[in-house]
Amino acid sequence: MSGPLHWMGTLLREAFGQIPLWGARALFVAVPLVLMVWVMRLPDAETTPENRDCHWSEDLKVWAWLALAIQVVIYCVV
Amino acid sequence: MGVLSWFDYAIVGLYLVATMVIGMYVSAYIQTGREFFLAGRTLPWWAVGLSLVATDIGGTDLIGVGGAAYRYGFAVGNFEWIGCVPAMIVAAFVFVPHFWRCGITTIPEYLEKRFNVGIRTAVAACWVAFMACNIGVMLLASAKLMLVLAGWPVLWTIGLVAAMVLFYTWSGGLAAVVYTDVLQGIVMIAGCAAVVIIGIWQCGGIEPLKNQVNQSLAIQRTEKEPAPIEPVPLVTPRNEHFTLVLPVDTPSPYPWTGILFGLALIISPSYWISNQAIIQRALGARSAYEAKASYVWGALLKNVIPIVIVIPGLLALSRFPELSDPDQALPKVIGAMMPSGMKGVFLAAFLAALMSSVDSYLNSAATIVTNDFYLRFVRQNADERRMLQIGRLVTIVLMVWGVGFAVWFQASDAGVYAVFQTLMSFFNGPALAVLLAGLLTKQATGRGALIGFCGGVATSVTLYLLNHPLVLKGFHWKPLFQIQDPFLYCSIWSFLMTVFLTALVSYGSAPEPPEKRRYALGGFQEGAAP
Repeated sequence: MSGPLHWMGTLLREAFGQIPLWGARALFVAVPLVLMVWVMRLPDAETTPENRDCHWSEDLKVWAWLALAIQVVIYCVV
Repeated sequence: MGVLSWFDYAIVGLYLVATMVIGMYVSAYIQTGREFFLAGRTLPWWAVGLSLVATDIGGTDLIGVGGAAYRYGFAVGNFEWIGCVPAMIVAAFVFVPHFWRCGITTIPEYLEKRFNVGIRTAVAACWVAFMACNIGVMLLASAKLMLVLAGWPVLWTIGLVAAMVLFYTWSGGLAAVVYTDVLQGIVMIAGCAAVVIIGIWQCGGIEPLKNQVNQSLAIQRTEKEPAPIEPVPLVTPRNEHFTLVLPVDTPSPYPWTGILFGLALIISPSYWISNQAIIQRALGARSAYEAKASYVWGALLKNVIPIVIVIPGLLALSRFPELSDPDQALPKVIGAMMPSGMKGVFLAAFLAALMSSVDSYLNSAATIVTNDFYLRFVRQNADERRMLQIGRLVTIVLMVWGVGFAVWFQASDAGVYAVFQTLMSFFNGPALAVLLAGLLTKQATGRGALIGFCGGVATSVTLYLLNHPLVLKGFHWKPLFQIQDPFLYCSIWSFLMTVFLTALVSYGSAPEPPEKRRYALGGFQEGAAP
């Protein structure tokens, strides 16, 4: 019963084992990088207070971008 | 941890008194069920954000993460970094504002609006069972740690914490929980940060700490491996303690595949999007904008959390390389390196972490029982005062249950705790899958979601059993997974199975009517709740 599952598990493990660690690290960095681009492309209406003008510090894009940028630095360094 | 001075006890006492004062102050404003469950939608973003972070870290996590860092190193920090920040940012701009505009109180309520009462009840039952038992498990596990940390009797700690949390959660509901969480979050982060700063200063800086950790690891390796009789080729042993991305064949439970595909893509979004204890805070925010801001603020805070909860484990490794129980890492560091007064600060931080998690699960479990069972099946026309009464009654019942469960569990086999936690995590993947199916597609049907959810939970249970030592021994099978505690992989497969079954059954069944499909993302105009 568990034979095919073992076979599949070994296959997947070996396949992922072929990916070099720097490639895996690149994927970890890519996740916040892609999200940074996505955040910057969000319409202002989605990231600022409704129905009023706002100061730049109230634009959530800035802080979301900062949180993700810290992630990029962390996964590049550690 | 050593003997506590009167100064330590004074600090702990001050923290407990401050918590009760905040709880009592907020409680004076609670008059209706809506105020009890969602704080009347008056919560500011900064309070919700701090509450999100405080709720996420329990007392046992504080000790457990320190122990895991002692054993496996910085990789455990993945749970707070890639295991939180990306999902929180996506949730902030996509899911949280949608839920807020839908005007819901619970996630199961959303599932009925989008699908049907069957999937609402199934998910609600899983969450209530998990939360109610988890209250007991958190109380017991933390009380056992308090016995080690400060010598407090187990039943005494359970009774004290349960009585205090029950008082302010019963009287103040979500508002009391969130505002006490603010104090608890500050105490927890500041207390742990103080431990890190003093510890690194005593080590002489970051580089000396790294060198001492590497020396400790060398000592551990020497003790584990007997001296070779024949000369062997010199191979540099792999040091994983200062690396976040670990290879697939790592001996730790954190290979990069599990962290990326299981934690970052499944467990983390499930936690930040579908966990009632988490999302309920954002639903109580003043506006959709403040709900988003609370998640972004929480994500910023999350970036510093691993530094204050992981480094103490490495400090312990540098000083005590021969600990038999890694969970002793943090108490040992506090006892050996912290001056008088700092032990009290850490104890207050530990109690803060414990109480901020117990109160959140207590309040959220009461919310689900009241809204998804009482209001849905017993009295659909209950008024606000009745809802408040029922919510408070359920809060008492759940806390009594939690204390009873903790006392009963105390006499059980200690190994059951780990099994229990694993079993409770089974429905995370399936719950996320059905929620995403409802949010991201208009084609998914209620029948498909219910069958998918049940199939996903069954997949988790099957995979767990196929890896259980008793099953393996009985049938002479090899373990299905080759890492310890493969819950990350179980979540991936149960999620994928739920997606597959939901899509398959939905394809073969009649589509949901338009009034249900409009609850998918983009189904109604911004600012106009359906």
